[in-house]
Amino acid sequence: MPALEPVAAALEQRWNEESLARPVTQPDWRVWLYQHPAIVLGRSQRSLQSEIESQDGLGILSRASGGGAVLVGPWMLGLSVVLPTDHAFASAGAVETYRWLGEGIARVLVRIGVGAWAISPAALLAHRAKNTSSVVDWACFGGLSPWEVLVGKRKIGGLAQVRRRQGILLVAGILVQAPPWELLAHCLGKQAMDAHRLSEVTTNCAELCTDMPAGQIAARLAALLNREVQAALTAKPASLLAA
Amino acid sequence: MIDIALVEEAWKDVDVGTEALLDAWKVQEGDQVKQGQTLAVVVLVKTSFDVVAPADGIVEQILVAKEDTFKRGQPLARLKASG
Repeated sequence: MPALEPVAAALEQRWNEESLARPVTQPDWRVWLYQHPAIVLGRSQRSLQSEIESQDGLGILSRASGGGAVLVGPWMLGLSVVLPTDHAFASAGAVETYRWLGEGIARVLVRIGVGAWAISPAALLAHRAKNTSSVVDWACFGGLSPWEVLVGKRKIGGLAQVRRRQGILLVAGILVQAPPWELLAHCLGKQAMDAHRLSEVTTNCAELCTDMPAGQIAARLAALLNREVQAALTAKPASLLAA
Repeated sequence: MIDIALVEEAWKDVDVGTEALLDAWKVQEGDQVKQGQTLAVVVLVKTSFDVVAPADGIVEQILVAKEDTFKRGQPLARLKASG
């Protein structure tokens, strides 16, 4: 079972890059707890890396996958999964590949008492039709994509993906506690109202599991996630397709 | 001449009307490329995809510029196959 010690966010990005640097022949994964805060920009935001105002040694990183900026830190749990391109989870297209991960994360959250669900493409269309208020699209947690994880209408888990000839990388972030959204907005030169909007459209485990200390939530969630991913990736092919 | 486009599989289950972003070109017009070589990286539904050369050849024309968006089936470049 992979270690669950907190690490620097740069180590996660390095593991992700190195995992896709050569052909992926076996599924592999890591659950990440973060020692220190860092901003991880989406692939299309990497030109901002040199412009962003770093505060108190806050790391500014970029990732290979798409989507908006993420403020990682002790309030978040991360997950990286690499798959061979011909893996059963990967062969049905990018959107369907998100499905097993989003649904798996939702199942794990339900086990700790958080009533989470993964939003299907059809439910997402309906959600967008009903929720026309502003989207904070520069932040991962400010928008919604297929099979991302919600509690009610508020996002708790974000997903992104990289598909290369060598393999497929899925990444996820789950909010254990409320991130300091003002810090993220400030560093990216965004308005305070964006930070307020991010707190409105997101939720976190600590807010919903008030009887468990945040540190315990993260450790419990990490252990359950490890088990969930391990069970899915080591299941027989017929079970994978049925998952 | 071969039109280079994002593979159809990438658009499966994607909302009608959603466009992809051409994030980076890895080649220029006139470059000789090998089959399987990455020509561009595009982003669609938070997923980055490598667009690879379907055959050996020369990149004749780039049709979608970096940071422009494109629709399903839209050609990104034209490749003059060698041989």
